[in-house]
Amino acid sequence: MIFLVVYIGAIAVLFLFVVMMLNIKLAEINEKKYRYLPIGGLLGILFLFEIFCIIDNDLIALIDSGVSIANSTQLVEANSSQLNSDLLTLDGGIAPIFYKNLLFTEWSELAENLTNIQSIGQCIYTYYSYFFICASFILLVAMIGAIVLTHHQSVYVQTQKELFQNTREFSKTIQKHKGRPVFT
Amino acid sequence: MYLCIVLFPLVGSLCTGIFGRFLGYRGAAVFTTCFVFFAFLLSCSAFYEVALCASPCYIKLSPWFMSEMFDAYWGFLFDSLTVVMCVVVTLVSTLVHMYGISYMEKDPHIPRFMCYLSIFTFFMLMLVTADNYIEMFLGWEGVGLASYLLINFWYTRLQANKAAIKAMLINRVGDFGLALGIMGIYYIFKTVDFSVVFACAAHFAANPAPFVFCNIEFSTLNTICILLFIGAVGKSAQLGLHAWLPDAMEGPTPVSALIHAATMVCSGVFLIARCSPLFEHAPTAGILVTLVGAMTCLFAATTGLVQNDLKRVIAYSTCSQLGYMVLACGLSNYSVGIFHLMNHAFFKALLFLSAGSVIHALSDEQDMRKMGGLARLIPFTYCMMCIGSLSLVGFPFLTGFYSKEVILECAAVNYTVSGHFAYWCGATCVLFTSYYSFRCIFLTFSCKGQSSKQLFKNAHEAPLLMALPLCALAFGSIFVGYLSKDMMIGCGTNFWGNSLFSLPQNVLLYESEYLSQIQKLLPIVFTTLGAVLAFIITKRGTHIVVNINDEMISTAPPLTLTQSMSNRFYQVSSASFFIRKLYFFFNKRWFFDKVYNDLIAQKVISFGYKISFKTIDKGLLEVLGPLGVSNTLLKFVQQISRLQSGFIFNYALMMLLGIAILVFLVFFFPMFYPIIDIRIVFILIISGLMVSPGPKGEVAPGCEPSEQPLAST
Amino acid sequence: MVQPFPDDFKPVLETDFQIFLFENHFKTVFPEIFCLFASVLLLIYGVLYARIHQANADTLRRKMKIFPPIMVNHVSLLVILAFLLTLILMFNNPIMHATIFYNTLVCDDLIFFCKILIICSALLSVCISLDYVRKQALNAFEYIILLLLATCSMLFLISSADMISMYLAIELQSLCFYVLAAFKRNSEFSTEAGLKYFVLGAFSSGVLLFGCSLIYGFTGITNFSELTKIFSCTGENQHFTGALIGMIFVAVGFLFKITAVPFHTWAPDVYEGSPTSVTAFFAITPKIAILGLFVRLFESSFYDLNTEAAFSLQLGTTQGVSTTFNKLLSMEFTSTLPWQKIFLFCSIASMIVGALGAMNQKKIKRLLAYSSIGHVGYFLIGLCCGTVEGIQALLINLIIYLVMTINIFAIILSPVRRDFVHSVQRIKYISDLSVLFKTNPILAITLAVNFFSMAGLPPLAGFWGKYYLLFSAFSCELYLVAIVGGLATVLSCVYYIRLVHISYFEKIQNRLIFERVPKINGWILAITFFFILFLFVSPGATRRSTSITRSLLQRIEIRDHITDRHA
Repeated sequence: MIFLVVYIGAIAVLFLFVVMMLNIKLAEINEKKYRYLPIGGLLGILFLFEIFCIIDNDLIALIDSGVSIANSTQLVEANSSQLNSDLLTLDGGIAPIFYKNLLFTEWSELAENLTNIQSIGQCIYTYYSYFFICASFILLVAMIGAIVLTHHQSVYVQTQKELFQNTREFSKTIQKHKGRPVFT
Repeated sequence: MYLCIVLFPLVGSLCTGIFGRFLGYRGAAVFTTCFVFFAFLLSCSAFYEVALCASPCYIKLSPWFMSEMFDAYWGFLFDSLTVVMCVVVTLVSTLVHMYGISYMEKDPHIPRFMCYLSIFTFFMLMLVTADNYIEMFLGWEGVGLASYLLINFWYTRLQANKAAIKAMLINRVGDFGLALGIMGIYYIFKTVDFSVVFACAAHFAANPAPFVFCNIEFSTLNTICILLFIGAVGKSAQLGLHAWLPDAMEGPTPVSALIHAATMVCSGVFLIARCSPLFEHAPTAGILVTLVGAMTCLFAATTGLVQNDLKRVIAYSTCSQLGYMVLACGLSNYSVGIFHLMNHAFFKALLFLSAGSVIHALSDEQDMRKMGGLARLIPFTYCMMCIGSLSLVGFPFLTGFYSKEVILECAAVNYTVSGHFAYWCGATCVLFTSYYSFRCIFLTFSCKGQSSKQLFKNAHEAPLLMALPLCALAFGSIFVGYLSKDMMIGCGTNFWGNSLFSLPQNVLLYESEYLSQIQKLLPIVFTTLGAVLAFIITKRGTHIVVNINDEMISTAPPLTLTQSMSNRFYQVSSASFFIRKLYFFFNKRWFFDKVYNDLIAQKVISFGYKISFKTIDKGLLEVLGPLGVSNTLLKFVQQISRLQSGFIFNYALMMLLGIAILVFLVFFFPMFYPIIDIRIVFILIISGLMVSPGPKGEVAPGCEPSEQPLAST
Repeated sequence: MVQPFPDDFKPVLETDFQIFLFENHFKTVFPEIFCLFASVLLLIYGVLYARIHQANADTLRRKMKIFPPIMVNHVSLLVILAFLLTLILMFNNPIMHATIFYNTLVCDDLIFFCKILIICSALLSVCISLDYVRKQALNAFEYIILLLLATCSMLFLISSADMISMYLAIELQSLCFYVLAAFKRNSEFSTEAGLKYFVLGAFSSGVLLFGCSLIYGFTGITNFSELTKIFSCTGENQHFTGALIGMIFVAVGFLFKITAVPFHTWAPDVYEGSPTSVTAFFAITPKIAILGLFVRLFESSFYDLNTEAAFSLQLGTTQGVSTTFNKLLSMEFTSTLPWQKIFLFCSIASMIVGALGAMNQKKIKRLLAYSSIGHVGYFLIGLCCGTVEGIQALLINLIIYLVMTINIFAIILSPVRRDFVHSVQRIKYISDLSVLFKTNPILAITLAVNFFSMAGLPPLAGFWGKYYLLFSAFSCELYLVAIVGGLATVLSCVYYIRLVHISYFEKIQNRLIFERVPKINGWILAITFFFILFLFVSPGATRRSTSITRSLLQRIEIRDHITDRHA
């Protein structure tokens, strides 16, 4: 979770840099703000409609549906621990609601007793170390990108060397040429 | 060795064609001639092995087309039929090559000429050695191409161009038929391999599975055979598609000898003989073949009677002899047909080459009326011409006699309508053949000289290189028939092996032995009669016809010459109306060309220009096709470019739209699908593409028809 | 629906992770690790070295009349070296098949193949842009390090076996790309490109993440192989519509990255704006990675995800108009699996838009952007076939596309000298090509052959790619997409051949001269040119090369066999 936050931050910073460079006037954006609203809105509504049409079945099934409950009871019967099956035999009348709760296993009981930070650490530094490294590289790239795109580094930059200038003697600055004048 | 027979001419041709300028004038000629000669030697050895020792050879070289069920190989089939053709082709080709060296001496393009001749030989050998229809078709088209190139050899001559185009176009008609026939064979037999097709022919004859075309049923084998025969008609210049052959004489004379007399024009006959198992099971097609052959025979002979160009007369004679061959094949006597083909190759090549020699001697003069009295100037050529003509007319015991007599006898004993028709046509033809042959000789050699002194002064005998081939062919014309008669068409000969096939009930050779003596002698009588007639008419001055000649032929000779000739020939001012008409009719080749030009070519050209070009191609298709599509596309393109507005929110909107579409597609489309008829959607899309071509009524400047139709000739 | 954890899971939790983590895992991903280390080291090197010279810059310039070395040159050469070494390591990797890091990364033949392709393409695109980077004064070595990092991330992306690792990898890659696109800070186009890419990329990332979370929410699983198992029993089970939407969103997220229509809108702008060397990189490498991932995701994980039962069609399919013609054309959208529908739609749309959009372009990079959109359409054909043949065709096409694109970018990156304008030293407009034949005929021939190949003219490489693709589409009865593919090829011929026409026959419009092509570009051009020209000698070679993916293909074959038996 942490690297995600950091990562999003980095992306956002990069985004801001790019936006900064482009120097877009706010007025131009405001001008065309509503022009595309109807078609965009239509499309959005259409899209949402499609998604709802599809997702509907599943999501509702999850909340209450005779079929899925029946399925789940069977599953529970087959797979749940001894404790659960004991409870099942106690009272059949209130079973549906009861078992619905039971479907979601209490992870805290199964997992070892660790704090959040600890468990994240354990995961991320062991099994998922690859993800960690990968994310670190993403950050590296974000950093490189930000620096490269913003840091003006040119070989042609005129640099001022104060020490050199201060120690210069006036008498040596202007010299008299022996021959014909040279224009440099 | 067998492959070398085919490949040697190709090598010679390619080398000469590509490196001709390095080989030089002599080099190219000698090079190709040698290669063809080697091919001839190898053919002889192949003839010995295959035909005499009766061991056919079958080479499957490599796959060519492999596509699912369709497979054609580079395969070579050497059986008796093939080797006979091989020997004939390579022999004549060698002699013509040799002859050509001297004949074309003055021509700067001799490497090209030799290259063409050799490539022709190669394609002809491909044709005869092929083991499947596709390969044969390759050879078939190849010889057509070579023929076109050679007719058009002097490409600066307008007449040669026209003749070449005519030959090409008319042959296309035949090729179309052949191609359809091959497709039909593939459709029915599911293969193009000769051996398989022929083996299955009997089965399909017993279990006919008719084609259905436009709801009309066609007998399978008959249709296929007729289509194949159309190909043969085109190539062998049979009645209907014959018009190109006389015109093809525009090419150099050696070419006429090789292609338009001895070999290529016979490939139609070869095709029929090769497909004999198919033709045997297609009686209707057989009848058609007989009838067409007989009519060609008669037609060409009558036309030949009154032609004045030396080469044309021989060309018509070729046409008529081809008619004999086709007739024989139509009567199921394939061996006789091929036998005549072989004999004909000898004497006709001899005739052509002698004619070439005459023409050469007279500085390219071809009109017989301007010749005469050459017998003393060029006696050798006269001799050769006489041998050739005698052989042609079937003078007893010369080569032509053996085959022609047999053909007529076979026709006589075939007691069907077509058989009798063929017999009478053939027999009449003998008379005509004899007439025009002798007329030719008399006019050229024995009449008094008709032309300028200059012409005769320069006349010279053929040089050695031209004389040698003539000698060889003369020997062939005299002896070949006698030597090979028993071998090829003798009773009970097994020379042909499996290469030719006749149903038992169609074998007529034995029957012909029992023909009455009178009927057997009839051809001889006709021959003599013809000779006598020719003698009387041309020599003794019953100048019935010649006067009309002058009236009719107003184009060819200049006026003064005509007058001088009319004085000489004079004289019968009052030829009867009927004879006059008949003469006109024959001289104009039965008006075939006129009918073709006026009724077919002209109509087709105007249709092609007005309707298919102007209305359909530049009108309808242009608007619906390229113009419409391109305009619509341009519109689309601009619209799509406009989509690319450059604003991020537009892009995001499009993405959202895309997601919505995808969700719709995955979840809702199956619900809507049954309601939608895809065909209607499809039609809507297509019509949307087609119908919105730019602003209405405006035609782009490029699509106005700019070409004018070619002037028809 | 969440089930209680089985008890026997507990011991697993308590296993000593060190044993199974460090045994072979790092060995397996050693090339990638090398790559990452190389990038970090080069970064440090660059930073330090640049600092040192910053101090001396003035003195150097004044005294010796030379400019301080532009770091990017060194670093580029070192990065090329790093790529080569990675390649060597990759080939000599002792472990080719493994599932590592607690089921987050996986290695197999297909992945190996794609990795090789990715490294090759990155290597080549760095090679051809060396000269460009030097002359264009992109004097920031970070550019090349970002390229290296992006390549690493793609290596990880292709081998990820888990939603989270997949997301992290793609995010790393995209972040590199955003920066790369905006790298030419003094160009407005470049910054605009970067911004657009970033904003839209963030949107697509959001969509992707939403999709992942939906899948996780409805299945409780993030692992690909687990997903395969759980989806293999859909059909009668109706509870995966949510996961299906998730799948669509995941697909959309990735389709955005490979510029498939309708999520392509950023591509022309970004391709045009970003430095040309970066464009070359964009055009090839990410497509390989993501298509490889697609093969793994959709050919195995989401393959069976189908909820047709959820919408048991009351209308019934039989009562509709069902002629042969109807069936042929609508088969695509009725009898295919949901994921196939997605790719079919995108494929058709991409091909059409790619072909049409390119016609109106005046700048060569925009044109190439549309061309690559079109090519993506073709790739998706191979993907949506869902057969071994299709995948093979896809991989073959990736190789060919890689070669062709490297070739064309090598041409575009070859230096030109322009009168009057000194800032634009590369080909920019299409009309610039009109001098090509006059000033550099060999380059012109290469360009012509390459464009003919892209257009798909027969003996050239591009033809074989399309041939295999369309053939596979036909053989699994996706007629509509195959027909559209053929038509789109015809359409795209128009603009490809127009370019050839311009380079050969058109009057010179712009005054510029093609200079000598840099040596390394020349070599790459020559090799790719001969590949394109002579592939027809043995077109099966590419096919054989893809046969190293046989393990995956066998798996799919077995699966097909099983599904056939079911049907």
